[in-house]
Amino acid sequence: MANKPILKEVLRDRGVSRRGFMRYCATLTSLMALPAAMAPKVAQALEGAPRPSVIWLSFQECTGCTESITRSSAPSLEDLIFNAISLDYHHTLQAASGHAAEAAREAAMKAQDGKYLLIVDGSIPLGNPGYSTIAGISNEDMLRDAAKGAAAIIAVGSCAAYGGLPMADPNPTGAVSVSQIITDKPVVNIPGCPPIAAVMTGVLAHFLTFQGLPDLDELGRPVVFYGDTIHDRCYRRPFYNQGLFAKGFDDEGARKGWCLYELGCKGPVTRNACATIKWNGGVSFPIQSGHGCIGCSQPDFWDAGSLYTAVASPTADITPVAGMAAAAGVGAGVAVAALNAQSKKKTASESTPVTVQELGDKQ
Amino acid sequence: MIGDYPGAWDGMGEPEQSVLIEIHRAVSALLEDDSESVIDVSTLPLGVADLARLEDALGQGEVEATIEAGGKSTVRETGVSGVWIVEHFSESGSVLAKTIEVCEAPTILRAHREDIEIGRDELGRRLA
Repeated sequence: MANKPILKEVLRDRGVSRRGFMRYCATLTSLMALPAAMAPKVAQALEGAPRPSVIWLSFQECTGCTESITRSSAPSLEDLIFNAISLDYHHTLQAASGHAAEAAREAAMKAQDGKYLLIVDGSIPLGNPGYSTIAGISNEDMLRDAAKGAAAIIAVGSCAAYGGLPMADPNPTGAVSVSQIITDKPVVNIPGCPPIAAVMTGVLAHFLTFQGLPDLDELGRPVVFYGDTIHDRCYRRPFYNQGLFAKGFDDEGARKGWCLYELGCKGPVTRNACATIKWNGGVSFPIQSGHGCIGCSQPDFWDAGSLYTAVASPTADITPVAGMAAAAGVGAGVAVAALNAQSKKKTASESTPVTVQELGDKQ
Repeated sequence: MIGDYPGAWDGMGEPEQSVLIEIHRAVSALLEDDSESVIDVSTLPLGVADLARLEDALGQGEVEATIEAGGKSTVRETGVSGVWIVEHFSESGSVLAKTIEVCEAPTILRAHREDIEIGRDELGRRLA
């Protein structure tokens, strides 16, 4: 494990020429929104870059984030990135299962201690450890354990980043986000339901190239991808500026491609790269397909009101409201968690799997 | 009129004129001290129509090449010698990256030492 081949060797073994490598660096540089003149520096950094070990943990999630990242337009850039990292644990994608899989995860964590990249999708239930377990280990225990030796932690998807759908009112499982549990190291949030594949791989590429994390905003999001609102970069923005709005999904305005603001588009309060990077290999994005943005990458989007009601103020940020809701959500989660903190601690210290009996006791 | 450039391009908007001015300065720098420049087109605040006008203003040059190296890339010389448009495409045909490069020849076009060595060794093996 210590002698993992460096990226340059991996690419050469795959028959990628120097030209192919330069092309790869040029597209990466553009993807990471770095100045184009940086491409040779990216190439230089990547030449000696070791393939980082990646451990991907899935908690209370729907596998949509994994679907998104695997459905990127392979075998392009994204495919290369996946061959350039060593994905040591991802229970949806790996062949091994059960104890063998957990043993592989533990071996990778030990061998790459302090160096591996931890990716998490899904929220973590604090209400009862039995709500979500992997090989009998509660999500919270697995996260805390894996976070200890991680060089960096990336929370992909709105559930891992902000609690997402599991945390939506009334938050039955006491779900919380990764950053509400891991507070002693930086957590990169890549929200979205799911996030854009190229955004996830772009952050991985940044880590691979610079052995560090990109600049983050106050919600832990990479500024290069979440710096603008959908509205800021929307091709329908000129209609908004002219006051031309579709009033229904089948009226004249809709047919003419006018602004969907009055139909509830959350573009003005949603920070994401959908309007520029787009989806399905750059084919389209929701607004281009005739439906307003639902704001899936913002905290508490599910509880933020009707998807079809116009946002009150086109320039206001949803964050303060969302932050308060999030705090309330955590409160509820922590309160429920306190009820069984005693037995949970015991579970953690003795590595005793959560039992069906235990789950029954808590209900 | 922008700076020292008294509006030479009728019918052009300010964004693409600014890029042309940047290209003009880059070409001057290439002639003066061999310094090369790269502009990432995707980072420019240009719409599709602005970009088309920019490319029209630059015109068509003598070289057009397609490169197949881990995917399709194209290199086009513009009507201004030394100014190239380099595009990298995904398998589905969408543009992954597009740059305007000001240099004698874009790096992606040149044969690289590592590949030349592999070629020599391979040819040597066949002759052995």
